[in-house]
Amino acid sequence: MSQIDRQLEHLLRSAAKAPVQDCPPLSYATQTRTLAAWRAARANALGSIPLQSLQTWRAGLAAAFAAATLAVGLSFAANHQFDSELSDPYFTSEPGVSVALNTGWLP
Amino acid sequence: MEAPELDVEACVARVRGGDEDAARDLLEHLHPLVIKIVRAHLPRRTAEEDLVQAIFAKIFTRLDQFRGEVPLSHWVSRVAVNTCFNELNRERVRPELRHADLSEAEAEIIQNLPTETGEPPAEKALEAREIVEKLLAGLSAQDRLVITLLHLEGRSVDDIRQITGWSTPLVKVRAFRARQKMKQRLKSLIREKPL
Repeated sequence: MSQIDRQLEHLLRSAAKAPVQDCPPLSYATQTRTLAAWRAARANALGSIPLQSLQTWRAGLAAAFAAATLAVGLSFAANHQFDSELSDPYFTSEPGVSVALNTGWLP
Repeated sequence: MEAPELDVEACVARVRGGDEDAARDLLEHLHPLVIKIVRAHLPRRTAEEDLVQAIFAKIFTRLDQFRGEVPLSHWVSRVAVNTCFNELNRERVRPELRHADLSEAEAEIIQNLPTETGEPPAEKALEAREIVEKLLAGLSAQDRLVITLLHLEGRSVDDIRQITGWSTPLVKVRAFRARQKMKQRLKSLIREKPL
């Protein structure tokens, strides 16, 4: 062991013997702030939605959006077919009137 | 009359259930342990009270993460030491130590170190602690932490491993390197002539 090793060892052993200061009482500020932080954290935890619920919600929304898109598409297709039938030149140039009066069979 | 011993396990369960009185009891129970750790690892520019509050805020908001595999005091020690370590890590300035920074009593200890033999006297322990603190102030947070835990608090390598999460060889290597740096600083302090 070198001299500087011994000196450091001596200093560290001496420092380790230093008396521990008295523990001060818990201050009111520390107590109040800690409890406030704890209450806030609890409120956040209770108010938040668990991750699994969020995933279920997301899947549900995606399914609902897909169903709505499909419904709009089918509705559009059906309307388009109806329009095509109404605009058939076999009937008349005024298809709405033609259908309403059902004049197609007249000579 | 002495206060009855706190049933920590039951108290933690009540705190988890939202019992504010239990939270207050647990705070009172843990305060001496936390203040002891803060005083041992307090960064120079941080107020003791602020650090204590930061540690308690972490402990209480993360109490659900405590699984009871180790005693609560171990878990609290780990949270407290890591919080202090993070604070120490923020300190960018590592001051040089000069002979002029020492008080008269501290300078006398340094002067007498080369001739000292035997057990260090207890009456000079406070001054020796001050010198060690000044030597530690120039080291990194990791070096400072390992020296404080190992030499000043007298903890075992296994204790330090549990508190810091470092491996056993890493604790030993860091302690060795930290001592080397302290020796260099001490050597230059001893060589420096007082004004």
